[in-house]
Amino acid sequence: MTERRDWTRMRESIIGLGTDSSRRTYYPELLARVAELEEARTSLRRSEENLRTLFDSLHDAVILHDWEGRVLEANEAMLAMYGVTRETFRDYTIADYSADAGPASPVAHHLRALRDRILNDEPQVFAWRARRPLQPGSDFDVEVSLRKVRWYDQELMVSVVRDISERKRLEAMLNQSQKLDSLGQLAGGVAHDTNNMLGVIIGYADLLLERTAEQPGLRRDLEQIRKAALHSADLNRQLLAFARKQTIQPTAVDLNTLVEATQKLLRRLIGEQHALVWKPATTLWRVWADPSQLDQVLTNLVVNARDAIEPAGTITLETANILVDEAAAQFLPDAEPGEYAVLRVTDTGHGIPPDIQARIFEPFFTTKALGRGTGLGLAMVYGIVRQNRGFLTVTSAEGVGSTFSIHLPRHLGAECADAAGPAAELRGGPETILLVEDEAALLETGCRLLEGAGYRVTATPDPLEALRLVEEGLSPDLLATDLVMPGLDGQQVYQHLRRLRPGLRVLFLSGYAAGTLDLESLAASGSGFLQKPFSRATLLQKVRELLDS
Amino acid sequence: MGSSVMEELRKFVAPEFIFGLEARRLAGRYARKLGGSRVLVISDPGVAAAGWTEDVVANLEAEGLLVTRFCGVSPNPRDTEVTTGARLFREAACDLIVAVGGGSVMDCAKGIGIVAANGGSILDFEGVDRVPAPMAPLICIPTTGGTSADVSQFAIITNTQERVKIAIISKAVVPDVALIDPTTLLTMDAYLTACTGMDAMVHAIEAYVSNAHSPITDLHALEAIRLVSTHLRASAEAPADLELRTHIMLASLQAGLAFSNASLGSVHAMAHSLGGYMDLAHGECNALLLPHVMDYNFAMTPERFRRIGGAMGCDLRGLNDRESRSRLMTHVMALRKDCGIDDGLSQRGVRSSDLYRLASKAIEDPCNATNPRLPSREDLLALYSEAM
Ligand SMILES: [Fe+2]
Repeated sequence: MTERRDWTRMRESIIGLGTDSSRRTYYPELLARVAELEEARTSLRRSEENLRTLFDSLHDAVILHDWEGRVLEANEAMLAMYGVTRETFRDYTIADYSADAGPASPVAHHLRALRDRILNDEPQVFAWRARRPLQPGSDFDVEVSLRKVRWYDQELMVSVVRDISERKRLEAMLNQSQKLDSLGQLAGGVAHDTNNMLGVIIGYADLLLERTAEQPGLRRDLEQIRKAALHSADLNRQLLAFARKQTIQPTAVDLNTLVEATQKLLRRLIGEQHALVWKPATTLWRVWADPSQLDQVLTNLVVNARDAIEPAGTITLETANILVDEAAAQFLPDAEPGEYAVLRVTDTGHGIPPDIQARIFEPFFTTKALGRGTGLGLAMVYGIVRQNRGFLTVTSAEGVGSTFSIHLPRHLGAECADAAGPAAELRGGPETILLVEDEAALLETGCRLLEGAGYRVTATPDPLEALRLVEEGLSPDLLATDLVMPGLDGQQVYQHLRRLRPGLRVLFLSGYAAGTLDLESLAASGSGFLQKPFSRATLLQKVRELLDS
Repeated sequence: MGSSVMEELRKFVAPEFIFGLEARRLAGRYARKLGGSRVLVISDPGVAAAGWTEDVVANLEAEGLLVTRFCGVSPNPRDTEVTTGARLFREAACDLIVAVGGGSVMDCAKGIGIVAANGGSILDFEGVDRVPAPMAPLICIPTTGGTSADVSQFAIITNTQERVKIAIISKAVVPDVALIDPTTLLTMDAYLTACTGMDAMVHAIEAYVSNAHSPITDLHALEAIRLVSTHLRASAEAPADLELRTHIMLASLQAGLAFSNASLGSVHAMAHSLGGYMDLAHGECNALLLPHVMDYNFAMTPERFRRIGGAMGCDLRGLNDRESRSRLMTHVMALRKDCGIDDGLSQRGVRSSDLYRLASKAIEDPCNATNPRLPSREDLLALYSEAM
């Protein structure tokens, strides 16, 4: 035997004197098990609570329902989304929570089709139109993901419902913005080219009128040509305004002052049968905008309001300060967060139907009777407001009326002195003018107009040629140049020449500013700007003004 | 008063037990009292055939308890049966065990309780005080006289792989209640009566000469020896005599109380090894080995053996130790033979070549620890040879 066992110790254990020899009761064992169970139950309950918290924290609505559409469970988001309570949400079926897609495709039909697809074990994600059973008319767009689950040993479906009405609204908002932008580009391009031609027509008409003072018959015809051209030029201006391509000369503007200055005119526009109410804000932030543009905006909106009212009603003009925060900006098309002064034009008219509200700012979109409006009024308002870094909103209820709110950003800088002096008389002079214009017809028109007034004009369609001329000794008193040209633009030409002729004055001519011109610095440096197309009178007046300054 | 209690502490452990006719009918009441609701009733085919299993099941069900039956216990309970029973216990979510049967059934029930409470294999719990978690409440209803598993801290299970019996000794396997009903002995045949009776006799003798005996165990041991010696022959001849049966049952109980606390000796160590190897009845093994081990132990405690002789009605007056030893051997062998247990191990298929293996296993048995003379393997080998 290799190992001698410890018989003594074994004996002690057998007769019950070992440390482990006492008989133990089952009771502590039971207690331990009960405690274990209790702990398991507590942890289960906690886990259940945690999951419930997660369930109720979801932003999406979660609905458990059976194949018949009976609802068994839902989270807090569902209650909020569908406007029901924890007590009542089971009273409605999935059919009650859904909107018919149309009379031809009732909910029940769709649900049956879905069930067949789900039975093939494919989780489904689809767009759906949801309904709040207690709030008729408040149907909303949702995205549903549907899948089969086991729930208490029962086969159910779980629908995770995401409210996408906001997403759709933002998409629509963005679409509209983009649409107006591209329309603007198109309109701006067309108007720019047309303007040059109109400049030629008006210029030659003016020249002929000068020479036909003694021929009344011919004069009348020429006047007609000139009038038609000016009318077209006016339409062009509106298109450019919509395209945000109007050259603007912004200053600090107090909207209250602006409205008060035009009140008389507005009352006349409105007519006797309508009331005009004016509610100015007691303190109002100033804005940085072109006052003449704002006049156009105000006039257009008031005319628009008048046309909406039949037979009689009230138009209210109102100003206010408004703070737009990040959240609010999300809901307002084109809006940036910030401080705004607001001008509201409210009418008690027939209102704008929701389906066309989105389109009223498109050019040539009009609901007015044929011939009553150009369809450019609101388009121009839109373009002007956007060009001045503002935005506008429309609220309208059919049969109640509409409100157009123009938001313009608060201006905190210094007031810019409006240098517009009294109109100078039309006179020419002996000074030398260098005219640069790449459009040949317009170049010739300008040349003729200036020479007609007695100026010595050197004209060239090539900006580089202009530089060469001056380098070779030409010493003009004024440079009149187109802004947008191939090769060098007007500003570059001016900068080159000024280095050679420090006292040189300049008059920029353009169909639109196109963002190339720093208008504020322009005003300070004593140079000038002329919007195409221009008449003989405005050209000569501006040229004289610059030479005399 | 013996010297033992002057030198050492002594403990006496016994379950609550009810002895008497129809005691088994209290099964339902006790099961409920112990907090049971789903009961695993463990029995064997023989006991079931005698009707005792269903008798007890009916009693339990009358008390509103849910009963699951496990009647697959073989004469020497196997580890595999324990595994099956424990799985059944868990599957049926039982919370109480009722054993109806002899030593095998009660030992198996103890094994099932241990594994159900602690997991693993029953073989993991071999040895003394190796059961960590107490088991579900256990009610024992013995149907044989002799084994005394109903009051003991012993469970003997066969390791089928090794073909050896393992002993599990733990206070954890002392039943909660024993319902000892002599009525159940009426179905035992003569040979089984003899075997179980001899088992009780060996329990009492080994407990009395155990080096862990105490005054309390001595009382029960001597009384058990007296009762078996007086009534076993008659009982084996007249199995239907309820009064004789009651004496044997009482003897078994008292022997059980004695050995459960004083433990056993090398007869049991050798019987466990033998029974595990040959699949012989436990009482039979004991009866075949007893005289030889008594002879081997006699010199260690002659005075105690003389008193055993006295209790057996063997007149040793005027004899010296050597004569007394010889007379006692003869007396025991005569009793054995009278009860129908004759011949030796060789007649039961044991070959000389098996003895080394038997002795090697027997020397590992914890029962040796309380044998009055500490044996070596060679001693045990010699004792097996004598018993051939
Ligand atoms: Fe035994």
